[in-house]
Amino acid sequence: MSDPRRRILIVEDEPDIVRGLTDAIEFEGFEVVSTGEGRAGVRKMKEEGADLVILDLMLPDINGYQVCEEIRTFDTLVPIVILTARGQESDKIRGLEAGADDYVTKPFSVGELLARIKAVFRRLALHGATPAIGESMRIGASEIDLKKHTITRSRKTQPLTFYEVELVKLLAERNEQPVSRDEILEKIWGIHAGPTNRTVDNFIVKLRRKLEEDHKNPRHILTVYGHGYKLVP
Amino acid sequence: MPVTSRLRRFGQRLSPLYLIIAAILASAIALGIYSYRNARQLRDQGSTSLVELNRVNGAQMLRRIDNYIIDSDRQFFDLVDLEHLQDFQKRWGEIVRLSEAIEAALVLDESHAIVNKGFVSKRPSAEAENFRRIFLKEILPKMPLNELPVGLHKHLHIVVDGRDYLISYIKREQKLADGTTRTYVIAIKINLDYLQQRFFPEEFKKLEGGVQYAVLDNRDRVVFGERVKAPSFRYEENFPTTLYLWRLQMAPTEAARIDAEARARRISETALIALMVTTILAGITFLIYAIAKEQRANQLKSDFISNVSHELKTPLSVIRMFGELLALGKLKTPEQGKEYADIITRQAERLTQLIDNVLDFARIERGKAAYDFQMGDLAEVVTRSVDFYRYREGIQLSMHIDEDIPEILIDENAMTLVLLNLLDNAVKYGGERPDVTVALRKVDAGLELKVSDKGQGIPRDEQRRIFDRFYRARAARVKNTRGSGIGLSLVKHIAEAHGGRVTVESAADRGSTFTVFIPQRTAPEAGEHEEAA
Repeated sequence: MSDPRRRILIVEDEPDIVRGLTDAIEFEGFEVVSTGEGRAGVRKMKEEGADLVILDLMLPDINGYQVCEEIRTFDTLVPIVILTARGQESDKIRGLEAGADDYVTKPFSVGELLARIKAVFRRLALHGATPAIGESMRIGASEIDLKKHTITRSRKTQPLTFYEVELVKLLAERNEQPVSRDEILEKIWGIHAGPTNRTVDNFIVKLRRKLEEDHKNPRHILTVYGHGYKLVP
Repeated sequence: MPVTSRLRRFGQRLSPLYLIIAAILASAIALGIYSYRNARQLRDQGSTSLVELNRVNGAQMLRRIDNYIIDSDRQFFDLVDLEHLQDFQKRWGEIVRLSEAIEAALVLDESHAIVNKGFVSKRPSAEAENFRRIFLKEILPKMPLNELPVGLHKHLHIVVDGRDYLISYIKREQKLADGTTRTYVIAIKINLDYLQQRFFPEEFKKLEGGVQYAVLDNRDRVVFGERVKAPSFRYEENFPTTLYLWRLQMAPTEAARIDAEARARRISETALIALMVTTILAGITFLIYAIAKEQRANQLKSDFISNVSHELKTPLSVIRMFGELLALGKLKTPEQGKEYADIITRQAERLTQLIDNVLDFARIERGKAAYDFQMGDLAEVVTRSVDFYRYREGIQLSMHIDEDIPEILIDENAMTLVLLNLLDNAVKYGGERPDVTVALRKVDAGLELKVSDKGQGIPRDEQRRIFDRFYRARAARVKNTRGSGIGLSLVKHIAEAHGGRVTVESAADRGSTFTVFIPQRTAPEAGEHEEAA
């Protein structure tokens, strides 16, 4: 089920958290590399590479936002999950703007974190083996490059994060049929929906900003009230 | 950013309170200016009416004196009969009776020579002759007789050899029997001694009380009266027609007092207004300071809550994670289970320490921190606390405790908090591989505990502030180092509650040494409790 070749980089300065995460992730059959400092994390990512990064925000040398931005300068695709005690909405927005894909606040459920990691690898494995759709996709005036993780509209190209691309793909696979929030959460994030989970809605807002002409009056990613979302190319 | 949006953001930040402060400030300044101008206007009105009254009195006096001299002249000129000039000297006695102001008189012919028997004087002959000589030599050349129209009455006020002379003169015409005319000039010497000694005293006596006056000559010498010194209300004017080299000075007798009072009032009014404005300004300054301080305190408290919750979340995360791993049975070896339990215990202790810190701090904040002082072994407290950190990975920890450490009056729990906080800081700021030294020594008056690290050090400007509650050093804020900002303030409070003190020595990149001095105190009654201030 899990791919033993998958390597996860943990950047976290609390040794006990690193220990627990390492044990739990290795138990699932993944490989773990870790460091307690931000700069070392960037260096390890550049030199050794990883399939997913778990990143703490409060690090002794540089903060997690800076680490995220630096990694994004040479790797736009690797999923980055921010793991931190800072749970305020502004911190999450800043993290996502810095190029993170997901945000998990402490204290977290290790089971949920593992489910997310597995969902990421499952999606990666799925597209690697049988691409459901082509390498690029046109939605309205926007051209999405699914390999490079970019979106081009009005000659302006912006990067897309792992989860944004996965969200577009999942909606596109359903051919204008609505997809529920619960299904999106389960298929992309690998977790079950809670009453306060706004992850999907936050990503839809981000996507609309990049994809729609007027993100307040969307014409392509439409809300199906009480259910979820659908994509109209 | 466009100017409009900058202005909008500025407007949003602008608290209504600051607008009210600005309004109060503007009102205070306006009130100050208005009060000052009003007071000044009232003062000016008062002094203007006094000056005006004085001016009217002075002008009247000048006119009366002028008129008296002119009237005397006219009466004399009317008495001179040009047809019977030979009787001129005979009629002199009558003239003397008529006008005391006239001292001597002369009649000049067309060639400006004194006609026969045309000079009379009240003075003894020698003195009279002296005047005649001065008149012809000094005074006559100054009289513009050739241009003088017939019938015009003129005055010459002149100083010769330091003495004043007032000459009134007129040109008159006499028709001769043959139809031709002959012109004469009649000149009078006014008796200035009489004016000064008799006429002026009588005239000035008529002035209603409360006036001081003086007549001064053109050399600024007092001719009559007493010089008027008060400048504010003084009327000063030359005689317009007759004694035009002299001037009159007049002022209310109380001028000096009024002047001094006005000056004092002006100073007191200005001082009061300045005091009012200063008080308002000081109030506003204090208000702004208090608001800024309050805002800063609120910000610090908010940061504190955020930092504490962050501090709590980390051990909670670890406890939850290892608890979950144990529950799920995700263990490679049975030993791992014991390790996980140890980690959970250690993190629970860390959580307890943090909560103790916060609770102690809260008690101090409420002023209700109670200490339980007992004779205790500080060396044991130090050893126990150091043991808590001894087996942490990546930390080099050394401890020196003097052999003969006596028992001392301490609250062991509080001193444990001191040690744990200082050790926690030394580890946090001690660099990549913290090298921490703890030393407990006996000194003269008590015990001295030193906790040193070899980390980045504390900048000099922050060394005092790090003991303030909620304050976090710049380096900690920049690097997001965990911490709540209460540890050192707690250490300081506990040290002081023991009658001791805490100090820091630090140099950039050479580490910091915190020294806690606890004095040797006598044993308390059993179970002494001490309330913190």
